Amino acid sequence: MIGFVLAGGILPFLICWGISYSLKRRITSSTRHGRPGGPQLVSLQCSLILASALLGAIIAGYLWGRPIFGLVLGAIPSLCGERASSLWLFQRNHRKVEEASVGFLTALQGLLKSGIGLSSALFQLVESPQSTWAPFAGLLDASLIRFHSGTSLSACLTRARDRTSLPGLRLGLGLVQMAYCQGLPILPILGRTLEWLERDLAARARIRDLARAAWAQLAIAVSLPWIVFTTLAYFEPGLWRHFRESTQFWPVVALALSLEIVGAYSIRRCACFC
Amino acid sequence: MLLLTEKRRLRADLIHFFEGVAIHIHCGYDLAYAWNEVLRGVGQVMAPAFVTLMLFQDGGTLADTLNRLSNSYPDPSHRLWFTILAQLYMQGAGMSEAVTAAAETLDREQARDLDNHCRTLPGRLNLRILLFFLPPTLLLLFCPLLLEWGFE
Repeated sequence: MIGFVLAGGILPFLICWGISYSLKRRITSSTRHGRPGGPQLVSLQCSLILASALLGAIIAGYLWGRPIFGLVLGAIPSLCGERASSLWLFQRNHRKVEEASVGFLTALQGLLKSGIGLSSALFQLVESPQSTWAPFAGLLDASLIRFHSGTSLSACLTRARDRTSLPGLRLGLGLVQMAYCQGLPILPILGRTLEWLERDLAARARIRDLARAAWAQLAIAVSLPWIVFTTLAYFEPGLWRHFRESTQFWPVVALALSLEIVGAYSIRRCACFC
Repeated sequence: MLLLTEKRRLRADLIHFFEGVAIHIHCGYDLAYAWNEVLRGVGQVMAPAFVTLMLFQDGGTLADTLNRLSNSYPDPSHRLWFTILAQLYMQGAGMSEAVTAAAETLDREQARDLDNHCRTLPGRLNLRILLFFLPPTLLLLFCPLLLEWGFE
């Protein structure tokens, strides 16, 4: 059975996942020509799941004569693994964009102070090969590229705002776009936006650090009862068998699981600031 | 009754809203105009409930909206700001300083709240771990033993 699971499910998944992970890293880190998580990535995810299922079916069919099990076993882990790795990569990419936005907006502030107009300052920064703000410049570039085909700067800024996930940055870009449309001075707005952004990023980093510790504690806490339970079953098989055959087994396991689920939800809510 | 996270989210939106209004007033616009413009300009990035709350309702004026908010804003501790703004607006006084002061005070309040959240988080987590994860461990350890000893 273990060999069957290994051959039909885990092996194809590991092969396909390894290939897709390196491809996904390239796609998500190059935000210059497309939004991370766009159609490029979705098609990659679908093809990975399909390839993993097919490979599983071929291996299981060849080794065990049961291709259908290999199909299912190959698709399930790739579906879960795909989702988890995509989420992790997106979060990492968004964090990079957020961190780069501070440097970009500081440089924009500097250019505006020296008397350059908003549109030329934006293009000057987007086109400069400065690596510190490259992720954010890439995101803006993907929106500003429409400026050359006749879209207004205001519409380009609105598009850039809708593509960011950080609330402070979304609001800052929204205010800059609003100020640009109304003819208001942009420098004070940019100054305030930078203040919020820096504070927002610091607060988020602090919460992230705390949440990371919380998740580590949670992982240990969730697995501890089951480790104790497995140890007991291993060293006292008679005790385990008696308990397994009793009517209390399923209610006790269900109660332990429900307590853990409620606890995990409660910890998740508790670690969240707003 | 607001949940703590809802209260914080509402406060964050209110800070950003007041900041936007303050910038408009600073540039010479009227409060009523600034109020609507900020809602129109950055309303999409704020909570929909907050935007609905701040909108002028039933063709009312800004004075009506400020009076309504000073009586029925969901967070009672922030109603004071709307009362002050309503009074100043009706007296025709300058609004820039008041709106900026409101934004800064709320901002400091939010920062204090975050500090407090970060300081108390480890303790609250430990309490939850003790409450929700120690009982399953004891349950899975002692139930087989109690059964073996004849406690059905």
